[in-house]
Amino acid sequence: MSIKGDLQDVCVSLGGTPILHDVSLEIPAGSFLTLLGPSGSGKTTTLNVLAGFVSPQSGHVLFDGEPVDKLPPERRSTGIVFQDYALFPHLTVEQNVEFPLKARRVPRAERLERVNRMLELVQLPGTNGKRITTLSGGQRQRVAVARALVFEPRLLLLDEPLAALDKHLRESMQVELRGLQEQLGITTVAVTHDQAEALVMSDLVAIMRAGAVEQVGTPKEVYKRPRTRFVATFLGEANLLRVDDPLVAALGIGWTAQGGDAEVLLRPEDLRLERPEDAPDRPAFYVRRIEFHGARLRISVNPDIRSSTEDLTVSLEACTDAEAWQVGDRVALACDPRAAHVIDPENAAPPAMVSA
Amino acid sequence: MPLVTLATRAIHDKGASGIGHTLTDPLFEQAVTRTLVLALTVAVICLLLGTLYALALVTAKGPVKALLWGALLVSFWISLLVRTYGWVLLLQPNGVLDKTLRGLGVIHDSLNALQTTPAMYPGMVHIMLPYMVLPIYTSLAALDPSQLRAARSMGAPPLLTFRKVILPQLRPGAIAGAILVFVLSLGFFVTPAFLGGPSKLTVGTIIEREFNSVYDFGAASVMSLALVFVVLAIYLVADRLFRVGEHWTAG
Repeated sequence: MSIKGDLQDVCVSLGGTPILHDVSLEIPAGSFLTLLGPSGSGKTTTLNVLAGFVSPQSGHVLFDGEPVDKLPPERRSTGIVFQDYALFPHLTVEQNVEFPLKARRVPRAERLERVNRMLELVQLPGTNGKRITTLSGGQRQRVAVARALVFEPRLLLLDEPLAALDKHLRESMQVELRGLQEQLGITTVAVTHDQAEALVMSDLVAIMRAGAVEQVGTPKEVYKRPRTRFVATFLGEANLLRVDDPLVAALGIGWTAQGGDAEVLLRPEDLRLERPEDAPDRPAFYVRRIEFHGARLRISVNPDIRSSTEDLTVSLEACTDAEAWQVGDRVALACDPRAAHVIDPENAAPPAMVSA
Repeated sequence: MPLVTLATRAIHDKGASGIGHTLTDPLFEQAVTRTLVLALTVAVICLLLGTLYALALVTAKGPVKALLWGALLVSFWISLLVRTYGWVLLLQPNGVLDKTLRGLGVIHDSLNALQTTPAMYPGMVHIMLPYMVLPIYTSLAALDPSQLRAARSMGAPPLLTFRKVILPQLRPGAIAGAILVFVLSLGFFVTPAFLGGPSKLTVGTIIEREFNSVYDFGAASVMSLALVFVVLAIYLVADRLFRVGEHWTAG
């Protein structure tokens, strides 16, 4: 029942301004793909191309290998959860969820049955007669999901579905939404600018920038092995060092020749601090700042205590051991060289969009 | 203050039985019926036309949109008298309407359309229409466009979206507009006076006549007060209705 979706070299420009440039994506059947990027990177437009609200100037959209370029949105069978949910405020929960079935002329008895089954699935059983305006944000979100899924669409599209919820609710809804998606096995494409959300929910993350896809991969791949500097810095915190920086050699990181412009990515959690007297051959740093984040400590270190150069960030588990560090301490920096990742500058040049 | 003056005048001149007499005067009753029918019909016609006009305002693009807005605002800006005179010129014997119809061979004699009850309707609708269009337009503009996209994505044909999504959400604006037009039409004077003439009296024109021609200030006061109370009552009922309406539009 789940289908795969494809975008092939999709270009979109609106009013002469290019919005998407040669976007190609493969969305495997039954998978959860998240489009992640800063605002204006074209992720919502990509979603709208899939839904059929935006028609590309060139390129193709395929559902299960069949081109759907000519199909209007109402015939594409995509369930969409909008950022503001776009529920009908004058209708009850039941009438909202029933709407897509009414549009398909499903008989009343079957409609009711499917609505009830759906409301149970999103954990809102018995709310049929309630008005949308009396529901909380989280409940509205569930109704929107139920309405998007009740007609068994071929593709589920989520446009910043959790952006309007508070942090706590957002985190539990991430798990719930992901569980629902796995249970139904429906191919899903979500848009978000929240990198944590993307990493938690998705099978695949596509990082977008300036109308192009920079990298597609599993959350682990894009986090650990970013192709470009942009991806490295957009996802989580990144310490980037030029490969010819003496520190790189001092940390014991070997690299294959990629030119002096290549950079080494060290995630803060891959770095460790040691007492300078225990590791005299390690590079020496000063602790400049310590932030307490609950489960972790974020420590900024610099080779020179008064330096204006950028600090390196070290993230440590906030156990008693780590709390021994004080601002101004001299420390030795260590890392597991295998965790380091070299970014080839050749990957970086974002295509064509700059001049346009 | 004016209300107090009216009340003392009415009681002083007429007394309780006189007030009853004035209100049951067949001429007044006729005028009331005519006014009610006029106000109600005008409200209903404006409701239909206003909805269409507001929809056109929202969907039109570029120069058409500018033209529609222009027409609406110009009819707001041009003096009421000028617009009413326009209708007089159109409807009067040997006016534009007569000449056109005669030219087309539809009629041979003058229609004598002016100073009849039907003559009041087109003028009234013309003058009241903007009061209907604006509140409906406000409702329409407040409608979240993503709801329309949502409806489309769920496979709804345009007619279903219109019936189930757009129309119900126009209701608050439509109610407000209809009440406004109805209440305004009840006490309207200039247009009925010019187009309906002296023999087809409405509440507004009969009050003026009692006052300026018959010099029965007492009767005029009683009628005015009656009008004020009716309008007030309608307003209160409408407010109730409207709050019910607001109940489901509030965020």
